[in-house]
Amino acid sequence: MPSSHSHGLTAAVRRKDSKAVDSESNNTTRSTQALLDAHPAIKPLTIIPAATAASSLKTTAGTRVSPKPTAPPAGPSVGSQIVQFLLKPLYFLLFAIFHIGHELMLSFKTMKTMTQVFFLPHKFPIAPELVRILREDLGREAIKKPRHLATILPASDMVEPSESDEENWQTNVARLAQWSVASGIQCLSIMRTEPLHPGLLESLQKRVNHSLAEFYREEKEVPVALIRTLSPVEESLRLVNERRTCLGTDTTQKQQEHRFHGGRTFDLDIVILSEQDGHDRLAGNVRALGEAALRKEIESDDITTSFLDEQFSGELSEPELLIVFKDDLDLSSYPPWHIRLSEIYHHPDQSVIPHYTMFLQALHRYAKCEQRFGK
Amino acid sequence: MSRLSNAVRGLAIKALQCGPIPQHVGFIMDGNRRYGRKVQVGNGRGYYLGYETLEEILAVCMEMGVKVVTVYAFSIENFKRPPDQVDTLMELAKTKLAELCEHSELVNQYGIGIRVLGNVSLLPDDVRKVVHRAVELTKKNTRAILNMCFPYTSREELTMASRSLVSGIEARELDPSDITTGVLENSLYTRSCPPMDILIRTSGEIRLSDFMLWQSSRACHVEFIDCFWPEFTFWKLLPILLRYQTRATFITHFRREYEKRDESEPRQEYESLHETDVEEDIHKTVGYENLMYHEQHSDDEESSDTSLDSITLHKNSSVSTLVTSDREDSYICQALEKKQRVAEFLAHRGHLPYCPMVELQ
Repeated sequence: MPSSHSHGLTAAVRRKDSKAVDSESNNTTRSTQALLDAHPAIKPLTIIPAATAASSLKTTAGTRVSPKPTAPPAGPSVGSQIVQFLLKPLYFLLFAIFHIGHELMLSFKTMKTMTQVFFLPHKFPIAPELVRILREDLGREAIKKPRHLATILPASDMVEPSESDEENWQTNVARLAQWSVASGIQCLSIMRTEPLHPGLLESLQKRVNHSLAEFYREEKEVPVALIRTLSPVEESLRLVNERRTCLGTDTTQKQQEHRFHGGRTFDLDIVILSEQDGHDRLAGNVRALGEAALRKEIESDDITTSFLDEQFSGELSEPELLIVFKDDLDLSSYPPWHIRLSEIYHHPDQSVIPHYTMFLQALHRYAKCEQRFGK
Repeated sequence: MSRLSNAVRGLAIKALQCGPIPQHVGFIMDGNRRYGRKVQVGNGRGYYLGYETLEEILAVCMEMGVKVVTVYAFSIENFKRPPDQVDTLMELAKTKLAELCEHSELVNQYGIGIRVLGNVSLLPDDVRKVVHRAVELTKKNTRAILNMCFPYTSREELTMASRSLVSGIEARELDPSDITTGVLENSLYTRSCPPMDILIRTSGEIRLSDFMLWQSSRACHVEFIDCFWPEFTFWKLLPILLRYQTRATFITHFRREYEKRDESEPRQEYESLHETDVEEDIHKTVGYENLMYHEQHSDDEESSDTSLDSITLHKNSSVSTLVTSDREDSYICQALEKKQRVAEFLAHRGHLPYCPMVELQ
């Protein structure tokens, strides 16, 4: 039991501690200003300052069974400080060994995946005959498929994506669109960490159209994909409000979609998201709700989970599967409201696995997943 | 044997402390029932084993210097489970919370304040009393925080936060323009905690299941690990921490970017809104003629100084040289006012009784 080795701590120390805590609590009349100043600020995590590191050593010295004889528990003596000081290089050595070992393990794993990928039967489907292969890979109708596939696909590792990064990114989007259409996905949302220049949206649309035409040139009908970004929050709020006010006329899902997408029929709905569409959008929504409340259009009690859900899901449905095309698993401010039940697929060896393989693996993983919805 | 393993663990922790240590770690403690079935001790016993693991991991985190540990104990969705299982969990929560706040060595030693996050009004009365007591008793502990999410869903949290902010606007305590991403973040249950650094989900599931959606979906290292929660030990945590340490600089970098954006957002808005205001102000205070004069003589201020009487001179110089800084000043003033208003609102709002706002030591 972890709590059992605190016996070294004497009552005296504990009393002292509780006294310190008491005096602290008397001091709680801090200015709210200071509070707000202090809270959002994040303490840099990079390096623990020597002072705090030393003090944390001090506090734990008495309580921890350490390999060396430790100092008396009633506060660190000079002797224990010296011992701790002498132990420091040992800790650093261990720290280095841990990290080196960890990195070695990771690179070993990467090599393993590399060999696996090398012997993988399915390669890149770019030619039309491969549509068939892709469909075989996915077993047509048999498996559970996501309706909405979300991806996090950063344009580049750098802050500013260069021209070639941009080019690469567009190619990747076009490919994802091809595979998604072929595997029967209806909505593809792509989180691009850097905001997309609005002028590029059109060229992206052209490119996707072109790539789909290329991909399906042997089929009778070429599928249509429509690229869009999210509309301002005020718009979705207006729509929800409209729906609420005319409750009598029931709006079906079809009509709703009709309204949102201007009545165009398409096979794949591609949504390009940027980081502003995540947390900032939620805050922007509160702002819009507040303004609506001031205009007496809504009341604060109207705001329920289902109200917000109606508002958010009108713009973007909940993705069933989220593929992270990033070295490290981190959700890059993907709209938090939506990812409640999404399966998050991520492979640490991004650089060696082709996107297509990841895409397939993610779909297979999703097909196997069972959701219990809290039960 | 356990002494030796503790010693080795202590050494490993000391070594880890040479690098960055996460401030806030979240756990989705999944797989207790499945573990119970696996080792054939039944569901209920699985929960108890899970609690023991929690104590152990909490001790490890505290020793390492983690400030906040957030655990997903019970989801609002979990009320859908069979009633006997829900009852077992409630019983467990009751006894363990009482134990934690009254005579837990761990809580005393590390000064852990217990928080209960979630919609506590959904709990049965007796459990709520225990929750209240636990939070009250450990209120003075400000060195570390244990957040028990019970019964919690992130959507509920976001809804409550939005609702309370909108009600603040309704009551004219806040202005819609006060609401920034940071303000919304500060009205969540985790408002007095540092941002989450690591989120770990056990049992091999790869979902967040409505846990800390806001906190974990930006600048947070997410890890899904394929073992049941009672099987989770320090040695399974170690690689995750090492991974985090290699990433920590990026995480802080991104966080700073987000913060910067959050600060610049109201500023841009202000500037676009008040551009015209400032112009009008100039017209009001200086008068059109002076402005004309100023336009003619803007190159040569010396001459304008001598040829005008003192009042006009003052106004004029404020126009010619201080237009930008004037705007800056009024912006800073307004921003300060805003900040104060928001802070006041957040401090006096009563919808989060079980997560009092404190400053961590």
